[in-house]
Amino acid sequence: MKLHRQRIVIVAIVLGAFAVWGIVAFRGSSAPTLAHIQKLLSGPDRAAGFRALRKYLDDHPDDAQANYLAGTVLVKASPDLARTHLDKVPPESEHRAGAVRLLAAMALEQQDHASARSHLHELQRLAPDDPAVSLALVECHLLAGEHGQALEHAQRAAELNPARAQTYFLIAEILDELGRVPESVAPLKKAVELDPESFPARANLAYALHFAGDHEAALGGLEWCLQRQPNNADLLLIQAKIVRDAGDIPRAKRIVQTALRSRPQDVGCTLLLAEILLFEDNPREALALLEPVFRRQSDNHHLTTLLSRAAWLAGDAEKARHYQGLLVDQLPRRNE
Amino acid sequence: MARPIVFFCAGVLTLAGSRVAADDAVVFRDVAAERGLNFTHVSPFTPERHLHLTMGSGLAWLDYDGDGQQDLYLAQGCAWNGTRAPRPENPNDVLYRNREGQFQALSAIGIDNRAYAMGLAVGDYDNDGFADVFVSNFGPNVLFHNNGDGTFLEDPAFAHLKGNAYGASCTWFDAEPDGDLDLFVTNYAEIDDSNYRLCRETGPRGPVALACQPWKYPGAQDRFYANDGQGGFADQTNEAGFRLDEPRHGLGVVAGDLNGDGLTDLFVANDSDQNDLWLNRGQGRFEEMGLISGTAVNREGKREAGMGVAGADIDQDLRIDLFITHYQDETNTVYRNLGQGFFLDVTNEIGMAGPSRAKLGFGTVMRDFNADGFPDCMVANGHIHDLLGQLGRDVPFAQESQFFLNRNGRRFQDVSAASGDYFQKKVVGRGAAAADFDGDGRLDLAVSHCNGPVALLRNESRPRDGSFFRLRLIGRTSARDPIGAFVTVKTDRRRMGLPYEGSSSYLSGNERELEIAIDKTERIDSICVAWAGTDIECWPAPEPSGHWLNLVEGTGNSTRDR
Repeated sequence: MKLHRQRIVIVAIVLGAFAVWGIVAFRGSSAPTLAHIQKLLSGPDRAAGFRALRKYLDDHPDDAQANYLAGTVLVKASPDLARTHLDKVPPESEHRAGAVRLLAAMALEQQDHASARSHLHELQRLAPDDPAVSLALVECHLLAGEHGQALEHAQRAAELNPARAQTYFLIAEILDELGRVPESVAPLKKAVELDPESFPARANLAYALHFAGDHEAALGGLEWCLQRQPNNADLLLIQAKIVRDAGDIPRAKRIVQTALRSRPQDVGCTLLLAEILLFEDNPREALALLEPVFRRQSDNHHLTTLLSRAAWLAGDAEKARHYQGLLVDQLPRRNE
Repeated sequence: MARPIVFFCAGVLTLAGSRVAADDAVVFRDVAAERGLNFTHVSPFTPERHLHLTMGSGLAWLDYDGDGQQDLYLAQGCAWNGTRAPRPENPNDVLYRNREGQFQALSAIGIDNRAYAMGLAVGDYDNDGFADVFVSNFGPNVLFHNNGDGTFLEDPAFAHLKGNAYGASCTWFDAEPDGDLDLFVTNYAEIDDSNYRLCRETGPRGPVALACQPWKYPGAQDRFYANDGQGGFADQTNEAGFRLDEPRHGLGVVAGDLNGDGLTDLFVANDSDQNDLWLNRGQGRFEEMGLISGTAVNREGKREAGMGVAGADIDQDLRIDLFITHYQDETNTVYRNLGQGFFLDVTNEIGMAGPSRAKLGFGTVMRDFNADGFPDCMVANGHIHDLLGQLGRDVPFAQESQFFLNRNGRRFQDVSAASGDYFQKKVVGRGAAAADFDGDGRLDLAVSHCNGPVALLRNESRPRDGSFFRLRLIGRTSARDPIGAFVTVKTDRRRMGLPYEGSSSYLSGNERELEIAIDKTERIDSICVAWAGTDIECWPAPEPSGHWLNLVEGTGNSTRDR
């Protein structure tokens, strides 16, 4: 259940942070000629600085510091050239970590996730205590659909910076994606503890608590959210599910109908109302409710299942067989 | 300004008020040690975590010597030594004899099963009045014939059908029906001993061995063995229609008339595959109707990891509903029988969703433990992975079992916290089965634990006012042991529907007899029995003898109306 999918906008942060880190690291260099060139590059006559750097590199093509400096100054203007120089910084160089940071940041910006991941893994070996590296790896793995690996890095990021609430929220989201919703209760509680005003963390915690069977705690959390957004259809849907699971079917129905008035096209609310109608032995009403949704969401197997059930129970065998055939096609393969 | 969530708080109070009252509680106490039940299951995990060692073994109640007391057969595992072939040094299954509520392990009675035992099916397949035992194994299956003199003999008629598969739950039932019991055996997976696939995942501190997910192995074809009534068996899986193009991973099975046509059907719970509902079309032919019936997948259209199954009339509408236990993060699912072969997933509405997602359920029993006429529910839980902590996962291997009271057929209430110490203890539960072993009118439980000692849970609840009797059916034209019959008890205030079941749960079997309790002021008007494939027969105001009532086919009044 996604109430609020928080995108990790890491790329810009990572690029900026890595570039600053690179420059600072370079300033510590003791090479006198390169120090002069660097002064030129940061002064008003940058062109002279570039010329001097090019000349220096002609004379010293394998100089790690020079290649690293070239990479840092060209990263925006000429990424390909910057990459060529950064690649020349050898593993044993003190500048390797900075070079890899920039390479990873460029790969992330260009959405080359395989390269980014490779660089970030190297960087993790070089700078094992940097939570930004772990978070960048989370981004890479999530974009590749590798939730298990993403979770490991998110947990590592939380270990490295335990005060960051968003990291725990991120862990919970990944657990949700992995179908391990009850396990998301602990990180969501931590997120709420660190950021008590976080609406998405509280709302997701309520959902996770409900999923894990702790209806009372879930209702308590929802109360806080509903005080702030009483007409939020997502919240009302969770509330209706909790009330339904607690056995008060008529009240659950009223709540989900309220949610649908607030957001008439909501698929989750429609499905819940249809489930209630089927439970109440109103298959025709359920069928009439679901069929318009199917025109918009024909690949939703929860919807197709309910349509098939409703049609069978309404006595429309032809329609039921139609939806059942679709359901067979929609069932994921057993190893998915 | 009124807070918009005022009504919400009322809901909280309602939930908080749903605790079980002390005089309403069903309380169990583990009396295995004091009653002489000193059995420990053997299934030491290998460093590689071979799958079959995590699955445990079943148990089954039977009155093997006809003394009216329920004896207990306990299936045994064994260590893995690279082959599933039985080895003389492996531990044996054990039959415990019940004498006035004390148990004694029997030896040298002809039970010799040295493979890794899985499922048990108790049934009088030769109609001689004594309960026989079939054991499905991870390895060759065995059929023990009860000689009636306190000993068993492996039936040579089954020798050519033993196979070498991975058997799971199994049950006797009369398929045709022709008056003798046939056998259905679920099979779990095709595993090659010499090339046993192993799995592991990488955790923060390196690789971690985990039992493989079932789909890492091909599913295995379930088997139907027809009894010719002359002492012979034949594999008629294909002829009966049970052949599947893509076999599934069968674990649980229950037999009963699931569409009300008088014939005994089968429901098979499959692990991570869609479930099978085999409707009996007569003359020994079956048709798979899982999807049409609504039992193949849950309400969301998802296949679940089915483990155990129970069939019971939850809401007293005289239809057998189904309850299936599932994997962690899935619900245990209740399918309400709507009649004519249609079911509806009502898990959430009747309160079974929330309590089950944080557990991995295996064995389950749905019988009336508090004598109110509604079947209650016990679930044995325990994970299959013991090393998830090494992957940074907070998922316990040992888990608490659960007990639910059925509230007037409308809702189940988790009362585990008030049901005794056993339900507070973390165990690796597998098989579970019910019997009134001490004959006190309160149903007790036995629970098997993977690689651990068995539990005997004596029901020590406060006795209710009223009376009880134990109902035994004896078939004549039907099988003598009439598994699949359906009993309707009509009193002056209610009707109760009770399936006369074979094995169910996970690899296990409840006592065959039905324990029926009525209130002090309640009067039984009639008891009707729908015999499998034949008549419905009624007995007006039957009189139990002591605590027993035997109903013999052909001695009542035939009718069409239950």
